[in-house]
Amino acid sequence: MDIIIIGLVRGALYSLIAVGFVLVFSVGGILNLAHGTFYMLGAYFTFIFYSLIFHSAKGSVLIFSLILAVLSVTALACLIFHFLLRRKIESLVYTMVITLALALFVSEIMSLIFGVSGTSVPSLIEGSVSISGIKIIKHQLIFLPITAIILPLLWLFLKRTKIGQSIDAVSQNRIGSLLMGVDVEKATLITSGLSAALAALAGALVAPVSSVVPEMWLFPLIKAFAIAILGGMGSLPGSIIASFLLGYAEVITSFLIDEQLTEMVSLAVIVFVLIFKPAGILGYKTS
Amino acid sequence: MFSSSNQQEFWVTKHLEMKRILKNFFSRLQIYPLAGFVILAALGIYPALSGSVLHVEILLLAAIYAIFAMSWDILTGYTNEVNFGFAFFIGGAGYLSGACNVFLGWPPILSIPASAVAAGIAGILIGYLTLRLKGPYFAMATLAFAGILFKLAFILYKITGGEEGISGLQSLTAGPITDFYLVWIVMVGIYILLILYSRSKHGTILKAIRADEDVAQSSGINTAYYKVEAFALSGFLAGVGGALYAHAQMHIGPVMLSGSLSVIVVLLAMIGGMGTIVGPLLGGILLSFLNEALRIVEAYRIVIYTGVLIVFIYLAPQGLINLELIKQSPRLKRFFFGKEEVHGSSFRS
Repeated sequence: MDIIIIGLVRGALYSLIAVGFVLVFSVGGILNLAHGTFYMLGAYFTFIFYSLIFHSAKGSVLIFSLILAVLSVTALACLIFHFLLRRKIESLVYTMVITLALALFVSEIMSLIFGVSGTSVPSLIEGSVSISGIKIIKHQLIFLPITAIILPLLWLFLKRTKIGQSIDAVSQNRIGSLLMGVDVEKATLITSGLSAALAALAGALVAPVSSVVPEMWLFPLIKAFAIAILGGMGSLPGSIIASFLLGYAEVITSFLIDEQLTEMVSLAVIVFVLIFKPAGILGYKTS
Repeated sequence: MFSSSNQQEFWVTKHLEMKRILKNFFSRLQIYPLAGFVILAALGIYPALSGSVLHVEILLLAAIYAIFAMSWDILTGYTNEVNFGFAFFIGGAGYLSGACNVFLGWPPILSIPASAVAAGIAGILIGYLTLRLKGPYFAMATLAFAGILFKLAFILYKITGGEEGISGLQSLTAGPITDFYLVWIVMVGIYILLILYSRSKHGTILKAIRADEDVAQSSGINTAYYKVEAFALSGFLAGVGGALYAHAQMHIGPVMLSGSLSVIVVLLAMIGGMGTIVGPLLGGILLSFLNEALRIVEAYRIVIYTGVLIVFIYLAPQGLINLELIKQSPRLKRFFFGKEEVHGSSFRS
C-alpha cells in the first residue's frame, strides 16, 4: 500500500518535470540541460519571495510567492532562450554545452549566496496523514491533484488553442510548419517558457519536503532524461507513463533492495533503454 | 684521378639525396602546426628559468587539464559525438591507480599504465555499447555511465572512502619540478601521438564519419571499428592523465568523477577549438591559468570562472582557434593549423 501511494506521488512529480523537458526537445530540438536548474530556481525563488521579501507566515503569501517564483523562472527561461540559445539553435553541441555551463554557473551562484547547507520552505499544509498505518506527509499529497489538473490543461492547450496547435505542428515538422506560415520562433519561445514553468512549479512544490540545496538540479535532470528516453523522445503520453514507471521502480528499489540504489535506477534505465531499445516505449522518432 | 672524380660524384649525389630527403622531411613536418610545439616548448622552458614551486604546481595542473582536453578532442572533435561523461575515464583511472597503489602497494610506474589500460578497455566497452547512439542520446548515455561510477564511489565507501576519497598515494617523483617534467614529457608524447593520429588515415576516416557516417560506411569503411578505436584511445589517454593527476596530488576524491569535471573538460576543448588538438591544448592551458589567476578572489572564483567560460562560448562558439582573425591571416592560419595537405597524402597509413 505504501509503495502504491509513494510511487504515485513520485510519478506525479516526475511527470511535471519530464513533460516540459520532452516538450522543449521535440519542439525546439534543444536538449535543455538547464532543465534541472529551472527546477532548482523554482524552489529557491519560492524561498526568496516567501522568507526574504514578504516575511510573512500566512498560507496565502506562500501560494502567492509560489506563483511569483514560477512566473519569474518562466521569464528567465524566455530570456535565456532569446539571448543565448536562439542564435545557434540548430547546433546541438552548442545548446547542450551552453545549457550545461549555465546549470553549473547558476548552481555556483546559489551556493555562493545561500551556502551549500541549504534552506527550507514551510509546507502548504502542515502535518501528516496516515493511510492504512503508513504515515505520509500531507504536503506530498498535493502533488496528485495539481498534476491531475495541469496535465489535462496542457493537453487541451496543445490540441485546442491556436498557439498550442502551432507548437504541436512545429514539433511534428519544423520546416513544414515554417512553410505553412507558423511563427516557429514564437512557438519555440513559448514552449521553453512553458517547460521552465512546469519545472519551476515542481521545484517550488517540492521545496517544503526536501531541503533546498544548490546541487538539487542534477538528479531531476537525469531523471527527466531517463523518463524521456523510456517514454520515447517526443512523446508526451509516453513520458507520463514512463514517469509513473520510474517512480514505482524507484520506490520498489528503495523499499526492497537498498535506499542507496534509488538514484541508480534512472541511470540504469538510461543505459539499458538506450542500448536495447533506443526508441522507448511510445517513441515514434528514432535517431 | 679518375676514381677520385667518381668518388666526388658519388658524394655529390649522396649529398643531393640527403638534401632531398631532409627537404621532404621538413615539408612533411610543415603540415603539423607549429603552434603546439611552441606552446609545449614554452611550458617546458619556464620552470627551468623560474624555479618557483607555486608556478610549477600551476603549470602541472595546466598540463594535466590540457591532456584531458586533448584526449577528449580525439573522440568528440573528430566524430562530433559529444562525450559528456569524460570524468568516467579520468576519475575511474584515478581511483583504480590509487587503490592499486594504496591497497596493493603497486608503485606508480606500474599502477598508472595498468589503470590507463583499464580505462582504454572501458573505452572499448562503452564505445561498443553506445555505437548506434547519436547526438543527445550519445551525450546522455556517456553522462549516465559517469553518473553510475560517481554513485558507486559513494556506495562502495569501504574501498573508495566515500566523500573523503583515497589519500596517501605515493607521489610521482621526489619533487614538484621533476613531477612537472614527467607530466610534461607525457603531455608532449600525447600531443605528438594525437597530432600524428589525427593527420593519419585514421583521423581522415573519423572526419569522414563526422561528415556523413552512411556515406563513409557505403565507401567500404568499417565505421564501427574506427569509432570504437577513437573511443578507446580517448579513454586510455584520459586514464593516463587521471592517474597522473591522482599521484601528483597524492589524493583522489569523488570530485574527479563528478559531472562538473566532465563539463569543464568539454568547455576547455570547445573554447580552444574542437577537432584541432592544438585548440584544446591551448584552451586547457590558458583557461587553467585563468582559473589560478582568479584565486585572488577565491570566494567568487568558480562563479567568475564558469561565467567567463559561458562568455567565451557565446562569443566564439567555434573556439578561439577558429576565430575569423586567425582564419583570414595566412601566417596565423599556418601557425595554428599547419600547412594544408596535398590531397591523397593523408591516405598513407
